[in-house]
Amino acid sequence: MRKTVSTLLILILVSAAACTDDQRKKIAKADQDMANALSIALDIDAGLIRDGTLKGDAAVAVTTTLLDINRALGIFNTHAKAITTLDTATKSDLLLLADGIVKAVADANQAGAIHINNQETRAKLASVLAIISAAITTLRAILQGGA
Amino acid sequence: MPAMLPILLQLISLASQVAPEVVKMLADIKAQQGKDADTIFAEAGVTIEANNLKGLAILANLMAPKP
Repeated sequence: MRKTVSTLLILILVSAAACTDDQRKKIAKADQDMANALSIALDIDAGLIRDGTLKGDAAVAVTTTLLDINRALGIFNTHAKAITTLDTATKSDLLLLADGIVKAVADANQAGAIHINNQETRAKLASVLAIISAAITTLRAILQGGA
Repeated sequence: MPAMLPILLQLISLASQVAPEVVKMLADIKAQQGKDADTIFAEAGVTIEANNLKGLAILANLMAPKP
């Protein structure tokens, strides 16, 4: 009987750990997706500056907002990778940090709307930022227990 | 998460029409499948650091005096 209970307990613990690992992996993937999308956004930004589409204060403003997203991502990454147990408190912390990324993306979209006159170019940057927004939606679903 | 995947892939597909670099990202997502969380977090951290250097280089170039 004792052996059966122990085996059952071990199975439950392994199962619970696997669930947490799975959630951590999903969070890590969302984190990686956002970092990769931002890398593409910075490449687009550099290309626009190189061909003269984006210049002067407008170029500085757009680049700065992209760096702000990266800073928010960096803070999220540092906290998320250190978390080994996903409980209510840690999920709440990560949701707050995700909000910081959301705000930075909104600012970047606004900077693009203000400083990039060419509609096609603006859409190009917005489509890459949309990947970050989609990853945040996934992240929220995981942290709020829906995925 | 499984419900979000088609939306994410659709967005990536849409973005790939205007940014071919996104195709590479799609390949990266597939490559992530076999990695554990710590490895993916570490790789994301490297990308974030590279992004920071990339962004700062762009700003430095913008601020540099033009001939």
